[in-house]
Amino acid sequence: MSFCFIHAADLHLDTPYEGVGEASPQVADALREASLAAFDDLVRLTLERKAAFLLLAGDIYDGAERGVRAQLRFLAGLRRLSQAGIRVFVVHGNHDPVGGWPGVREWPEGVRVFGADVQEESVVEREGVVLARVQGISYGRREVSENLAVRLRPSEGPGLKVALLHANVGGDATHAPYSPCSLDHLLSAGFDYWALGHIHRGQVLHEGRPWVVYPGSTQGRSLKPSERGPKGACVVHVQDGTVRGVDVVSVDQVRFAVLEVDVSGLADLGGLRGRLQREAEGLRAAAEGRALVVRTVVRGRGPVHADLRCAGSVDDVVRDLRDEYEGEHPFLWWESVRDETRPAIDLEAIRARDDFSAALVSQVDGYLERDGEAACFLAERVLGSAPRKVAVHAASLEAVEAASVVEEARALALDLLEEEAGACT
Amino acid sequence: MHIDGWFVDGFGVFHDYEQRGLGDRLTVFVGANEAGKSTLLAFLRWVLVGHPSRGASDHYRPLNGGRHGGRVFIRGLEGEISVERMVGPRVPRVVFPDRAEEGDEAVRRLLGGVDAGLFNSVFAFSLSELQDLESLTGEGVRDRIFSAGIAGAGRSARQAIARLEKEAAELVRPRKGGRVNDLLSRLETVERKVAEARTAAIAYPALVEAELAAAATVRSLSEHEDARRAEERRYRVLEQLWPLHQELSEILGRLDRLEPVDRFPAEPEERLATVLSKAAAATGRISELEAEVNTKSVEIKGAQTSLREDLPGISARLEGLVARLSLYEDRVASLPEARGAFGTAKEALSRSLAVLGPAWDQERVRGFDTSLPRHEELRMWASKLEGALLAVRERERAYEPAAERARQAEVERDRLRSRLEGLEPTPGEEIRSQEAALRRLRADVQELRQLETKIDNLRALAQDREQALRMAVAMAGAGVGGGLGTLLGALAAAGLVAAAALGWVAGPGWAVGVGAAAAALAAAAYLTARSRRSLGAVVHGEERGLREAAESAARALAAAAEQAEVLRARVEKDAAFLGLGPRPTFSDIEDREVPLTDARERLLAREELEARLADAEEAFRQAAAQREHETSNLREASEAEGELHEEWMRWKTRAGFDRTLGPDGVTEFLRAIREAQQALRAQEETAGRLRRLQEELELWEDQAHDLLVELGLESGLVEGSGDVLPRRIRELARLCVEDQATRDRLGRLEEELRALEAKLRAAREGADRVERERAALLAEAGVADEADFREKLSVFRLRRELESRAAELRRDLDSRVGRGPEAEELRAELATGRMEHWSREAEGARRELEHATSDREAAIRQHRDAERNRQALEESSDVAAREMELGAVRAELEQALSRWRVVSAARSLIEETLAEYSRTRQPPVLAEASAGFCRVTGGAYQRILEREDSEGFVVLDDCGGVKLPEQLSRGTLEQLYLSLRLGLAREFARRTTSVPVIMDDVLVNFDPARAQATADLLTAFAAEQQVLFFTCHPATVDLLLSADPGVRVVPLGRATMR
Repeated sequence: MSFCFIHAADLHLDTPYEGVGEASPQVADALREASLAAFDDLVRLTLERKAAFLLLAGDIYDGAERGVRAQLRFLAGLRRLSQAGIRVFVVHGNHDPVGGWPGVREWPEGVRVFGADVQEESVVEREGVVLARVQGISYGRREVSENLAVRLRPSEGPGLKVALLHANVGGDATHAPYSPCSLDHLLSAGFDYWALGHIHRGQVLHEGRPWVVYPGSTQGRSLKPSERGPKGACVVHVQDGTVRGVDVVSVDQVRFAVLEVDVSGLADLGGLRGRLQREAEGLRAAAEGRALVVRTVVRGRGPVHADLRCAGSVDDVVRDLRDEYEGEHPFLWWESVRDETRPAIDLEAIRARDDFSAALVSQVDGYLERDGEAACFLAERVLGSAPRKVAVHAASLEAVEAASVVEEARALALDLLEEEAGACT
Repeated sequence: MHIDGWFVDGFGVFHDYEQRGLGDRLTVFVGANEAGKSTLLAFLRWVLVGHPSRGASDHYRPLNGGRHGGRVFIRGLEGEISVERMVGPRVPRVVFPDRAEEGDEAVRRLLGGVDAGLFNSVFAFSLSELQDLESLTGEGVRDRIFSAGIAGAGRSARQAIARLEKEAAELVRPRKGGRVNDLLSRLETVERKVAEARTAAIAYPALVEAELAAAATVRSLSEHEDARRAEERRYRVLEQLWPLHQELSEILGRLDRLEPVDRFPAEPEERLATVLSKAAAATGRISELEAEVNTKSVEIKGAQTSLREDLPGISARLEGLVARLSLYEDRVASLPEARGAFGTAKEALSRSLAVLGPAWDQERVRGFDTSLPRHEELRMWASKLEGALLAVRERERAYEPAAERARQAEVERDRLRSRLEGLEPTPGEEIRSQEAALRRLRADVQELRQLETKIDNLRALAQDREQALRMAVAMAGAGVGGGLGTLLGALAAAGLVAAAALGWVAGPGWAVGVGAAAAALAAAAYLTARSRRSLGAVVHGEERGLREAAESAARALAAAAEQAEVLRARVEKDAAFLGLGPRPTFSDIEDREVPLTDARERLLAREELEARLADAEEAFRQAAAQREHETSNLREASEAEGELHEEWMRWKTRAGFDRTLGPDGVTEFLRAIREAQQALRAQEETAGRLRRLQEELELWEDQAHDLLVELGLESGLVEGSGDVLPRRIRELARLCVEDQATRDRLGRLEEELRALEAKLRAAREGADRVERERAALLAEAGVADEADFREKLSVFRLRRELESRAAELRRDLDSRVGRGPEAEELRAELATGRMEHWSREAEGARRELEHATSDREAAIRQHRDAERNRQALEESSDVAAREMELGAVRAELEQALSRWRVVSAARSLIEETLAEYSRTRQPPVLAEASAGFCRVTGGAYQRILEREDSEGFVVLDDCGGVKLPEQLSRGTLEQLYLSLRLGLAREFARRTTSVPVIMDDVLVNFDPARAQATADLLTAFAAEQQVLFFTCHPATVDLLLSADPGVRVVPLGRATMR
């Protein structure tokens, strides 16, 4: 008998969007609604595919205080699946450990939420035939350093053996090391399909027997690399008790993208705007009709650097781009333009000189060559003289290498020292 | 550069005052008070840099005439430059040695970019300005003093710091106002809102519990209210039921008093009336039916007497004859037309046979083949014969023009052949060789001329380079000069060799030129050798360049001479071939070209005629071949046409046609036979039709006759009248129809009589049933007649009415009271009839109900509030919205902080570098000034340093003590400022250009020792940079002369003022 089931994880319903600057009301509304609409699409997908069951591998919410709107929306989706006779299996993740759903008083029929202890497996049948045996285990608290995978063991009997778990396989450094486990262990555990959650970038760690799959999150929520690009769920096709293939279907509503543009060869800001618009059209073409939030990082050396360095130029570029795309549906929101361009300065040539700029470059070279010097410089000379609150927040900035900050400062200083008088008027 | 002099047209006291020949060192202008020293200083300032403020020149309006303004003469490497500034035009006029003129920008360029502020502060100052600290702390001057060498290619480090500080301050401020400060404040607000929203979200279960508790309270209060409402309703019901209870009791009493009639027939009056009515109707109906039966019996007897018994047997045959009667009459009418058609067809056949001839009878006509294949065959023959004839005609048409073209081509060939035989022979190859030689000769002569020009130019170049080399040698040292002299000697020798070569190949003119160049080189060699001792160091690079250039020029000259020799040899050879002299001119070449052109035209005419003859012969050959070809074609077509004709004759014989007939004749003959065949078929068809018509008429007449005879009637056939027989048949048919109608009517009458008799029987049975019904009704009511029946009926009805009302009252009571124990208790209470008690109890219950309702509504409101709170929280996106806002603020804050961090780091980097740079590398200006100050003060002060706050400077004394400028005496302070200006002027000269320094009596406050030291400093300074010193003190002049006797002294006085 052939059937399919849906595997999703990391819904993070109604969660905030990280690192996205102030957006227009329309965009802010769309972003707030995106994770919930993505879940609605997941339910629709499950119904359309007439899936035998739906697996949700943790982190449905960000936390108990997340608000009940999302919990009730979640409950409504589960009711629709229940009414269609589709079973749902859920485990709690690190963001929503057991007891973190105060808005849910009673689960609809056919919904099984696994606890923090090993419990009896659920058997999914259709027309008297056993399709699958599902086991799962939830997080009892937020920080689980125990390898939960070892507690799941397949039982004897017919049907596809599925394990549902929120875990960090292989120590992915971009995510917290909760429930750490190794791929080797999963391969030898005797299950047919490991339905995992926790890693937001979808990936198939192993194909065959067993399949080890991270479906990724259902909706991106920042401009971090793991949150960019298409997001969705896995449609798993099973025939005669064997997984035949896994399709990834997008359910996201808004996509995040970072556009990196080299300004070399661009004559002015008009050229930069034109280039950005062309690149953005490429992003839209690939976005499958989704709305887009785009951050632009401009790099390289060229005449555009001097234009961008003038006060307000970057803001003007962003404003122009937003005006250009205002009112479009689906929207394309220019989140920001990050100016990382550099003046056309030859450091080696400056080092060879005997002037103030050469002394400054030499000084910076000293900071960069000695371990910890750059960090000390920033701590003493920059943060040390700042107001306390500013220093605290500046110290908690996203971890950027002190060396790169010093390099950027060097570029800015040389920019000012070497610039032609009257470049910015 | 230095100021060589000036011409004052009109400026203050000066008019038409010219001063020239100022040296590039120290010049002292000495004059008494009002001699015009300050005016002169102002004049120089104004002409060179203008006034910082407009209108300042008004102070020096010409007092002694002349135009307001003048000129300053500047001497530089390129010669003397005049800078003229007059009141009126806003810009000066700068005239260069080459007479080129420029404006303001040229003056600025000459002064190394010095503007009015810098010039008046540093390079041209009076005693009072010397003491002015501010003139040295202006931005432009200060940077040059303290930061010379610190700044990068453009903006100074301090400006960079200022910009970075400004940007950092826009981002972060100590208290509030900066963007980061604002964002931090906003962050706190939003974080608070997020916390509130999260707290609200966590309270959701409590809200749900509160809602459930409120719902329970509502239910409890509703029950209490219902109980009170029921109690009030009970007593109100008792009050309402009491009148009903009383009425029921009265009705039951009346029923007891009436005669008992338990049963009575249903619908008694209607049933009695119906029975009596039905009895009367049955009696009337029986009488009517008996009368109708008698009438119908009489009609039947009348009809039976008029019937005929023999007609029904022949009715079928008669119908057949009548059906075909109209067809019979149509055939009788068409008989004459059929006979006429037969006669016409017969006549047509006779005519066709007559056309074909006596040999043709009906049998032969019928048997001749006139089928379509025969026609097709005949058409094919006609087509083939016509095609063959057309082919012959076409060949004939093709042959005639071909024969005409051949004849014309032969005539043209013969004509051209005779014309060519009449022409004289022409040597073509020789003429072409001469033409080629002539073209080559013209090009070579042209190139040779250009080469001669080139050699002239090379010769001039060699002379120029010789001059340059000679100048270089003049400046070079003796040792190098020796080498250069040797080189020039070598080049001179090479030049003589080249001159000899050119004399041989290019003529004496070239040889003279090159010889002159060689002589110049020789002279240069001599001069180089002579100046060997007096020259200093030689710039080796420059000498090498000049030597290489000279060698290059000599090589180019020799190559040109060699190329000229080759060209000349080729010219001589071609000229000899053409019969010209060895050095032909363009005129000689053009003269030689005239006869050559005539011969070439003749040659071209003959060649053209030969080409035309060849074309004509080819044309004749082709035309003759075509004529032969057409003759052959015509012959073949005629033969084919003959063979086809023979075949045609044989076919006609086989087909039975006359051999004399052509295709058209045969076609016509065939058409006549087809017409005869058609006439034959028409005769046969009309004869058959006539025969069939006659047979059918006879058949109908025989049948009609037999039928009439059978009935014993006369047929009329014997009488010979055509229309008798049909008329008889029609009469017989009418008799049959009438007889049949009578029979049909008789049947209907008999049927109607049977129906009437059945109805009569039924009416009598109905009368019997009605009588039985009446008797049963009276018996059912228990009475003997109709009167008793009606009396008993009225009693029965009254009882029914009272019983109905009593039942209605009972139902009403039952419906209001209900059933069960409570109802029984209510009935018992009702039976007591305590109306007053019930009213009191009802009022008490009503009051309690009002309280209960009020309590319940309050509880409902509380429940709704709880429900709204829960729903609001369920639908709320506050957490998401606030967190979204929080994320946006954090992102902005992060961006602003990142920028602030980079900006602050950049500022710190520049500050650190600046501090280190200042510490380790004293700016050259301060170094130079320190040396001068130390010298002037006799070592009392060692160094001048920049202040830590960068807003000025301090001095170090010989004990290392630090003093601020305001701590110095006036004289020492003036020495300090003079030293700083000289240091600045020296550094400026080192970096940019040497600008003259002009000062007005700056030594007056110096003690003798320091005045002497300053004089020494100034003369030493003036050894490298021009100084114009104005003074009114002869002692100062002596002082300066004692320092340097070579100092030039220029007196100022009345003589200079006109």
